[in-house]
Amino acid sequence: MNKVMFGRFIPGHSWVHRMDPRAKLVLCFLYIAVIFFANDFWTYLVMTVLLLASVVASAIPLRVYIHGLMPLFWLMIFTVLIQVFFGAGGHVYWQWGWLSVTQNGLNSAGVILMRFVLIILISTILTFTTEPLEIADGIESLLSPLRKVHFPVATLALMLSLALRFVPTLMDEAEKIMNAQRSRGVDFGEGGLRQRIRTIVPILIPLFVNAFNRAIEISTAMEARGYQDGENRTKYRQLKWRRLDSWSLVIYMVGLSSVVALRYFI
Amino acid sequence: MAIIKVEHLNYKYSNSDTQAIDDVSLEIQTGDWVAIVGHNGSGKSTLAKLLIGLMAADSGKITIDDQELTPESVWQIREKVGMVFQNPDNQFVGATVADDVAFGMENRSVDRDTMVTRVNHALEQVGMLDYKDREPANLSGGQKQRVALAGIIAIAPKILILDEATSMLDPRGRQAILQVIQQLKDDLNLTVLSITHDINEAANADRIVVIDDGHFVEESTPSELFNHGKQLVEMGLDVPLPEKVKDALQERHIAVPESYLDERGLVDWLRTSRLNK
Amino acid sequence: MATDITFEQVNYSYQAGTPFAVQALKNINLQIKSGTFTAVIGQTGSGKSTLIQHLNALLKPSSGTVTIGDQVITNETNNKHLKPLRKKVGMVFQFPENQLFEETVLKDIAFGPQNFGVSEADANELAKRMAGEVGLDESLLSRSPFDLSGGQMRRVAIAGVLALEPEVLVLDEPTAGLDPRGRLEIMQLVTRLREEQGLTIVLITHQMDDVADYADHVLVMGHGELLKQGTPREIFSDPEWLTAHQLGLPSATRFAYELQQAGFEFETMPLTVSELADEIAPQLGKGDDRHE
Repeated sequence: MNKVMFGRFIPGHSWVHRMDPRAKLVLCFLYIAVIFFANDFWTYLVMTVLLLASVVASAIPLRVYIHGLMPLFWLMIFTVLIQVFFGAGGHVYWQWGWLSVTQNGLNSAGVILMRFVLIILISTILTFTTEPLEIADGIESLLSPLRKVHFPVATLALMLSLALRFVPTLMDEAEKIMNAQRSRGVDFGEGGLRQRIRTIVPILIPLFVNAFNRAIEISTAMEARGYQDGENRTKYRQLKWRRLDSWSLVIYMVGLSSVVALRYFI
Repeated sequence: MAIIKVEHLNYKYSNSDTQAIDDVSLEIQTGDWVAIVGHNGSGKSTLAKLLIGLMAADSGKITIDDQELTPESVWQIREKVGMVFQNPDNQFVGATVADDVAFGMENRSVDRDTMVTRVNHALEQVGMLDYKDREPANLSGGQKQRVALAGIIAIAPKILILDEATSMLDPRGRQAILQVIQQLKDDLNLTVLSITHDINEAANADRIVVIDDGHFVEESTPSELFNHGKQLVEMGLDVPLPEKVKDALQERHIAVPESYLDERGLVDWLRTSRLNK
Repeated sequence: MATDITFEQVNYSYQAGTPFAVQALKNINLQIKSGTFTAVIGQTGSGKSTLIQHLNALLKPSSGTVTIGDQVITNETNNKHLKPLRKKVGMVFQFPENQLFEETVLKDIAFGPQNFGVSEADANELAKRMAGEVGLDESLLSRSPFDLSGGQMRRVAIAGVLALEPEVLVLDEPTAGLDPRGRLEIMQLVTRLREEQGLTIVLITHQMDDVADYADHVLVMGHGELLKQGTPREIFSDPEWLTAHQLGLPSATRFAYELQQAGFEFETMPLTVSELADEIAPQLGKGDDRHE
């Protein structure tokens, strides 16, 4: 049933798994920012080496990552084709009407493809090795300075963590409702678009009603347990910044700054 | 001393024509276990929600531990009360077992070191320490309810309210929960208010309050109440086995004692009756 | 029109062929005769729900065959041919009120038959009849199902399954969360359907008293295996075995064992209160002189 690998967590104890989610978020963000500085073979080489090193450090086989790229395959092909046919300038290799394949077109197609793959893979490393909840904790911690301007960071984090907590419950519920409606003669995934839309209604309405009732009960339970507002609470979950996080930061900083240096100074 | 005092309480849902709670008054003594029974829709759960201000009564007065329930005192009153609801899933707010136990303490700004100690202690009390890092999706209903109880142990309230807390569990899960509650009541000197349809849960109580259509009907001891025999079904309870056996014997022209006997008592009576044949 | 149900060497694995595969049913062989009342018991997670989902091919066996009437279901069975089976076997899942979605009670009950080609007018007729069958007042038919009480919603859901006019009715803990009166009403309804319309009943339950009172065949599941099957009398004749598998006895039987300790003699261990009274009444004094 769950064939989509993109965005899924794969449990493990690798270097990357053990890292603080804040470190992973920051490094992922920096990496994506620096991708846009890369402009030639050498800079892309450094970025690729950094990525492959991270893949190795995650102890998840490369083919699992490739598998994770597959759902985006057509999107990639489409983007590349657009670049190939509509990028203008440089030597013209082939022309038909208003379509042409030019040197610049090919170049920019290559660059786009490279950026696309690198960005997806680096975020996949983050999601493969970090539980959604840890990501939520990491974001909360990184955004905490915003509390000074009365931005409800903790409330948002709690909302996010509650949403994540109830994803499996609601998936379960959806499956039960589907089974019940199948038993009442509904054929899912059959017939034309109109027919299909009609079969969604007996799923969506009960699911929505159920989720709504749940939400009311959950908020009652939270209130009964003394929840008043999100901001003035202590936190049980704590993040620990360890030496391996500092080392990862150093390695990435060396790699990423060399890319910037290659672009501007050499 | 009465730890919970309800005087002339009234409540009506805005979408209904009838009173959900109609002039109910009652007192619950410190350290007692009181069961509230009544068939579905009789207003029992409404009463529980009113008690800790989850809904505001239309009129009447509620006093908990010498403090009157008002919009100002509601948070202080909730500090003193732990509540377990019917649906195990819809009160499990933490991402893992430990997080859920800590939730109530986080709300009370307990410092982290204390939380860690109390989470461990509470989970040990309910026999769930081994499941500390599990996610709720991997727990049974009974285990989730035990986690809910651990969350209550961690905040050490004076009153425990069970709102049909065992009704969605299988018989084993139900029995395990009742044992934990009995243990907690003794250890922490809790006052327990349990809203229930379960005859065993009601039998555990010191007193039983019967509610019907929002009215207070009667308050009695379990054995006085169980004497009602078949009428118990109308009160939202099963007929206890000894009453069923007595009925069946009477149909076979055997004279049986009129007063309520528990199982032990009935065995004794039957043994004597057999020997006297 | 007999719809006997047969399982032959049925295995089922969730997420078969992946590293996450879990075997939920192991080599199940059983038969459910048309018109019987079969109870399925076992702990939570023992495979009961997986088992009943094979009865209308919501799940198809990973290997082995399930035969329902003249329909044979194997791993290769095409999903397109399942419709007649879905009509033949009605499913009442746990908390069935969660499947309601229509604007009115009438429409919701009539939803199922229309999926099987019954005209709207006929389906509405059927819906009214079934609403009566489950004891819903006619005045409720035009109301939204979401305005009803929990017990009424459950009866609407059951009527919606009965409207398919199934030959086999499968119920997964249909009384969970109801008060004793509601439980009794549902069980009485199930018994009546069987007696008056000859429906085959398959009931998952944790209530051993219900097993003793209503079932004539019992399947005991544990860890995905069929541990034992037989009449309630056979199943409940071995209290130690039941305890070892964390299952209980009917309350009358449990009480009879206590009486046995107190000197009473039983030819056969009673399963119900009335059997219990039949056994002990002759052993008692009339008691007239001691009691009035």
